[in-house]
Amino acid sequence: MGLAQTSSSGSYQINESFFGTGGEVNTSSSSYQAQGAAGSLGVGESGSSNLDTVAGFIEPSDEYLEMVVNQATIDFGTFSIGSTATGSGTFHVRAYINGAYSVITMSNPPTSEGGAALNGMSVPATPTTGQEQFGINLVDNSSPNIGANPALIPDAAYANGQAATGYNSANNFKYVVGDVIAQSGAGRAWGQTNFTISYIANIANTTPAGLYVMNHDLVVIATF
Amino acid sequence: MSFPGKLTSRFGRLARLFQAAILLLVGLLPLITSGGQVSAAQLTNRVVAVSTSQAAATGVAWDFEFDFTSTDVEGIIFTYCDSPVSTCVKPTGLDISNDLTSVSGQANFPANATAFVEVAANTGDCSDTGIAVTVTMYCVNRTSATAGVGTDASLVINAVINPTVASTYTTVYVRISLYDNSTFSNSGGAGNTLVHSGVVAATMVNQLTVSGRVQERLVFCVGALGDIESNPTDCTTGNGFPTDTTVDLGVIDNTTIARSPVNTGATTSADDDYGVAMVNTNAVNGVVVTYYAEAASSGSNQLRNFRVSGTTCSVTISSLTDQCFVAADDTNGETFSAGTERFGMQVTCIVSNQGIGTTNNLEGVPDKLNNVDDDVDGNTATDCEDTDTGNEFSWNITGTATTVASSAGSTDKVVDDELIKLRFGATASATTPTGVYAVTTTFIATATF
Repeated sequence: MGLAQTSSSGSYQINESFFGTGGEVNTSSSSYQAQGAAGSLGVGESGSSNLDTVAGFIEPSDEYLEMVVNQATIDFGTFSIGSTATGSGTFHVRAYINGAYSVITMSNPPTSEGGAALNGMSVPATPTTGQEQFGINLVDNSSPNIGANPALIPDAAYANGQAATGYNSANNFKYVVGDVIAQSGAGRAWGQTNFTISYIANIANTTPAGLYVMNHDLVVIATF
Repeated sequence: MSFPGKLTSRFGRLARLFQAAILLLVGLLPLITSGGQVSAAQLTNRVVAVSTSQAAATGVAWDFEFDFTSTDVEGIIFTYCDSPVSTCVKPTGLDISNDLTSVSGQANFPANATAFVEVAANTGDCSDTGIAVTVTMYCVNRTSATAGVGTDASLVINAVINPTVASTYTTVYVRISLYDNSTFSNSGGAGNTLVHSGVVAATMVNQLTVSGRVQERLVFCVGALGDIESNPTDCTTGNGFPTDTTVDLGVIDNTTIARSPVNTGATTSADDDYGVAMVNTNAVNGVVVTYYAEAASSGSNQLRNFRVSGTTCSVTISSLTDQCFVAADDTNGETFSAGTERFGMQVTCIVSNQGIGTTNNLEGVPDKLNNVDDDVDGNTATDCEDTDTGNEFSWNITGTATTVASSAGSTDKVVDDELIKLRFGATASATTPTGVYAVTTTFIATATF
């Protein structure tokens, strides 16, 4: 048992409880409910009308933040005015319960060697061929058939990351530099969430020739 | 921390001693784990936002923001470590040495007008700062005895070099310490106290590289378009671009100025055509359309003039008695006067985004070709070949291509099916010999990608 998060009721108080050593545990009665996990950063929150508990191995008083962008090249190939180019990449954020987090996209849209940048989609919209567009979202799409919804590892009991507004609607894409594209859910941030970024691009007749490149700079900002 | 009395009343003395020991241990735990910041209150809503998470990036701004309860803040230490607690180890590659970094963006501190300045040498708890790349601390101070609450108090440390990414990510934990004195003293008592502390985190990560290629494109076509025909919408015949390439001015005499399109009539061979050239390119640096007159394959002298095939013209280009027309001045253009032998070309307008393409970037028509209004863009009529008045023409007899129009001077330089309308004009002198006069013109579109 470690000492960190406080649980209390009118009768007693527990300072950070840790339950069990293996797998998810769901224990409940009319008075309390608890969840625990084995392994580093297996965390969970639970609550009832009488108390809240937080389970895990890392002291909640210690700040923790982890973000991994799985390095990859998303190559659209040669753009065609008649079809939408697509691609995807992945990253994950892992946090403990001591704050909220947001993931911000910092890069300009793909830009050519001549300095021309594809038009970022300022509002969520479906892709339109023949119209210069660059957009992303972080959910599962059917048209085009790319992407995946945020994956809570191992499930919603242990993580609460989500796609942000504007980037959370299937088949609708957006790209504005500085936007929050992903974030922790309501309350505190906890657990590991795997995100898939879906990219789409269209060109117009007027899109200048060139090789368009974007080194996607994703910044996670955690508030403790 | 409290234990309910109902529970503790059941313990004996030994249990109470054990409990006291536990309480003592718990009380000391923050001291053990937070590097001596036992008396400091916690900074809340604390965050750091980096301007980029790129590994080893230079010139990075680290923007700190936090809240604190009422206090006098005269010194702040930012300690960059690879963990939130215990011994501080500088993340590999990170550089916050104070010959590199600077402080700015101070906001919402008590007495905020009194700025924090960088502390260049070790002082008090600021024990690892300086110009060495190995330092872990960046310290700032000021002298201000004004206490106050800090809400969204912020400060930016600029020009940091980010750490490298070990394997997949590197998290930097910055331990922030606020002092009520400018010497970073924590010896105790007012004016010698570490008053607030807290840790924030930023993660350096790999980047996703997104790329795609837009292929170079240049479509250019030239033709003779009938006056009654609609404007073509692109260079394909299916969309109205003519296959005809002859503009016939019909009968040229010394009483009028023949200007294409010259209406077809019973007494003239005129074909009611005018010249057109259309461009479509995605060249980012624009396109330049030029022209020159082809040299006649037979005859001699004035081979690039409007002339009778095979004839020998005068070596004097201003001759009004040979079978070569006098070329309109190609330096400044020349306004024709009926009866004074001249031949030339003008641009009546460029039809751009008037229902054809989507751009309006082709311009740069030199004055000599720009008719008397000197404004092809100002003539917005799509049938400007009929409505554009004026008889200023020029003609290039040098054999070197000269500019007709260009998008290189436009802000946006790509050209989407913009149509240049060309007028040819001629008038004869009383002495101009009879004959069938002709000249072939070559147009060139040069795109710069």
